[in-house]
Amino acid sequence: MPLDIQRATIAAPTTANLLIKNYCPRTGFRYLDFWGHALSYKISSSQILVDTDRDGLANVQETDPSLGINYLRADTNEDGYSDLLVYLAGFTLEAQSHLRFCAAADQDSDFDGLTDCEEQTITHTDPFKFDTDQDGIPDGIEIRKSMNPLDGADKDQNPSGDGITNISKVKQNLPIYETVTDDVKAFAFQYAITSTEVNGQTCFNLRINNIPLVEVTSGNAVRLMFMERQTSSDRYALKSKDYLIESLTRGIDAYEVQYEQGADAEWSVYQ
Amino acid sequence: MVGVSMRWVLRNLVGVSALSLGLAACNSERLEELDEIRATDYKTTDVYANFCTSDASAVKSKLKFIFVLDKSGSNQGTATELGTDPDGSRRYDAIMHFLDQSVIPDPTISYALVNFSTNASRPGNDRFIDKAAFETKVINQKFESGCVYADKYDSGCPADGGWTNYLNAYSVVNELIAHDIQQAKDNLDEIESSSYVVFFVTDGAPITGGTPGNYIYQSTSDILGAVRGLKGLETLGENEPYVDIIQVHSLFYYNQVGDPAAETLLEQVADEGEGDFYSVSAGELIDFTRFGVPIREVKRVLRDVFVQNTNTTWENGLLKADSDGDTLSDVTEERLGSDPSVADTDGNGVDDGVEYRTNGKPCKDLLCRPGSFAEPYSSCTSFGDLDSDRLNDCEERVALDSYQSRWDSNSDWIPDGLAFAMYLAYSGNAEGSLDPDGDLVSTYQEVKDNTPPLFPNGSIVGLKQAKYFLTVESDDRIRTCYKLQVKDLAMRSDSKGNVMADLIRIWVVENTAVIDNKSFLKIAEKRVDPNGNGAITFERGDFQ
Repeated sequence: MPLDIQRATIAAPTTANLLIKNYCPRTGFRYLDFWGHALSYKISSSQILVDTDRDGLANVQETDPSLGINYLRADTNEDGYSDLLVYLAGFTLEAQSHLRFCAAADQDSDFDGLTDCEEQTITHTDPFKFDTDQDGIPDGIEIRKSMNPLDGADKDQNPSGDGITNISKVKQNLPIYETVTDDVKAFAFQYAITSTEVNGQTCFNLRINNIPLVEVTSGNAVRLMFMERQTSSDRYALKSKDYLIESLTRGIDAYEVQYEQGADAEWSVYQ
Repeated sequence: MVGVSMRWVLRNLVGVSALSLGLAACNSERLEELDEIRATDYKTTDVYANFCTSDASAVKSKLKFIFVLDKSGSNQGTATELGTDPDGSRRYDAIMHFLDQSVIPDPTISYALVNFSTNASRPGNDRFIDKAAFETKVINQKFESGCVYADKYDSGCPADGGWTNYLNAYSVVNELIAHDIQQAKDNLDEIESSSYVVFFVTDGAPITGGTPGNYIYQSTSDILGAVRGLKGLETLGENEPYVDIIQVHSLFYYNQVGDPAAETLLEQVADEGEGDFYSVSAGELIDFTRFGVPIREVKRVLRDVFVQNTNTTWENGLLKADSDGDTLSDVTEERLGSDPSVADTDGNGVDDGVEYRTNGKPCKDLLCRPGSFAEPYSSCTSFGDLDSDRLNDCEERVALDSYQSRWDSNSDWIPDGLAFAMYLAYSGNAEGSLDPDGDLVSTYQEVKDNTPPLFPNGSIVGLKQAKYFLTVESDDRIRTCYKLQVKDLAMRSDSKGNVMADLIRIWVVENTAVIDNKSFLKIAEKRVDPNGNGAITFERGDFQ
């Protein structure tokens, strides 16, 4: 069996820490929230399942021939509608052929992880707002966690009755529809955020500890979400950036990366 | 009884009279307290349930196609200008090809035709008809002027003439859809929802008069407003449970030279209508299968699951027996004069608990003698439970002012009947994340745990919370299956301390996965076997 198909049991993987140094909110904005989303694996039924193409489906889920999806590409038939949406909606190949033609398959105007085509045709979320229901979880992440991007009320719900709200599980990368046992809890993302001063501005060192690392040919990746709010108004902003963990600088106890301001264009902003 | 505080006298729930405890000498005030029980003493059960999300194909809502065809004079042409479709083959053959796609007749799909030029109408005054009848209609329209044909794809002779009045067309479509929705609403037996797909087909701009170079156009804002009005039917009034989606597609067909202004307008129409726009020149065939239509076989996703014991009820921080499950405890009913073993003592169609909470008394008659049916709710027309949320239509519509057609009237994802039982708001604002009793457990969480949302948990000695263990059994394209265990759900017990045949109800709330925001409720109910080991198991087939 190919390396990536193998399931890792919950006891096996090593974990890593990640440190983003000197994150400074942009001028006129203040820090609102920060967390990471695991891209290379999913936890289900007390197992860590590898996700090589990082599409939100574990490799072992991408085996149904009638759907035409496989574990090596996030959008196997490259029609602009990702394998994840195909699987979640149960679209057979025939149904997929009736989807609205997507001219710009890569365009994601609000950087929320769902392309504009996907938001217009399938999820009916706002292609220009990264968090349509304004519950603090970007639309693409809600879809990956099988939450409802059109209704913010699910952020405080807890269908599995383990006392951990859905939004808390999203940030800890725990499964929502399963009661989280202690051995699964052991692999929750942990956060430590400290503030520092850089040139008179309040900045932050952002840590994510306890990130499980799996054996995957595409490398372990984490999607980091930086959320800010404009100080003078109600505008919200999101920057979403994927990091390949093994390629970062190895510090004493954490992989490290110096935060780079980047261009304003990397941010999705809406009222 | 010496040394025990009056308020917390130990007594088993239900069925034991004061006399058997030798309390004949106590005054009546003491007797009332006796059905309260210390939390450490009530019995609990373990509930096991296997359930799956409903199959993607299990519930197919109806799909209704509306073809809106341009019948203006430009189809036939003039002495100087070639008609865009003089023999009807572009318009009518395209429809027939579309019908030919589905060989197996699907009773959930129906069709309607709207003609428009200067005026708009439904030919034959028909509304939605089945595939066979619709094809006959289409053929008759194609050969309307009486030309002879051997095959339906022969050259036709449609009757075209007049201007191109978009607004009249949309007005007829609006009436068609609104009328259909009303018919669905008039059905008090079940909620049937439909998707409406409109194909707006035209060969020209919305010109309603004038001369060449000086035409009179309908305004873009009026036209887009009309399309918005169509889309608005999805959420107008109480339409939501009956409409899945209304889509408006547009198609522009021409000969050699297009019309950029008309095409831009039609693109905007499709945008407003959440549909597609295509323009087709003389060489190409009109192909209705190119349009994205709503996909109705969509997988379901679990949203939440609640387990409820209908025979216990919280009153002021005390868990009490409720033999008839009407949310009024047995002792309260004994005090009020209603029958603790009959949910609707006066038989008027509204349960004692609902009447008590809305009128301050469980029956109109002080002695709860059966009166005339529906008193004092004489404006009720239906006593069924259309949305199956365990509050009947009369209770919802007249007494409680919640929706009889929606099982979650205030969209807080707690079904109305469950919210009512836990003394929560079932209509108006959602209350799930509030914490009115200040015990740092949200109302929503208290519903899950079976603790009182209006009484601080910290003040209840030995309170047991229902503990959920939910795991995924299997997951594929069609459904996801779960295993649920709920431990320590409080139960009634008899004088010997045995559990009784409590009716356990499991509420499963589902969402359609990704495609839209439709939610579904299904319920399983079963009685505990008092002779068993106290545990109760639900199988997949128990869920309706």
